[in-house]
Amino acid sequence: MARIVLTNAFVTINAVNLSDHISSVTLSTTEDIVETTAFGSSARTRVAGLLDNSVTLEFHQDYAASSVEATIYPLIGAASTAVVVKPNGSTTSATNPAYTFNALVSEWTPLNGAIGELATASVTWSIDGAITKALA
Amino acid sequence: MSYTMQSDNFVFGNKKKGDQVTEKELLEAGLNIAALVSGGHLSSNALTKPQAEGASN
Repeated sequence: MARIVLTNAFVTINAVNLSDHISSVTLSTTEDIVETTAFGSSARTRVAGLLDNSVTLEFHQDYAASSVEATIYPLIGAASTAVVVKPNGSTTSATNPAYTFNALVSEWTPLNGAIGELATASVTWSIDGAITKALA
Repeated sequence: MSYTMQSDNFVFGNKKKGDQVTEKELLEAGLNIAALVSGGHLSSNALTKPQAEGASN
């Protein structure tokens, strides 16, 4: 299998393609481990619990019409919104899976940066429910 | 109720800027319509009732 260097990750938020204003994307899934050890056990026993998913994005801020700020700001405090993440461009395939989920826009930094720096916003949003992976 | 796509970066099936989408389609896709309108990605095609002749505001 070919290794991949991320140069063309695809991200839509509420169906808006903001890929050209995102420099980092991390999709995380962790699973609770529930202990089931009881008397008579000689070692701890465990079962899988609930999944907990989140997405971390680093945006390049842009206040232009229909760009980053105009897209994200109205989503703050709203119901979870549809997000799609793909590793390499918009075409879904076996080697470019589409991860689809609903994220709660619970964090936003409208303005962040110092003199001479790029204005950015780094956020981690909790995912509402499961992540769906599609290969076609 | 329908909306017209107003931005190039709104991705909805094979539709593109200038095409129309229905409220039903948007809701079925789980999208936040108010945020899309606010963000300048959609404009509402809702008809406004014409004023009766001689009516004043």
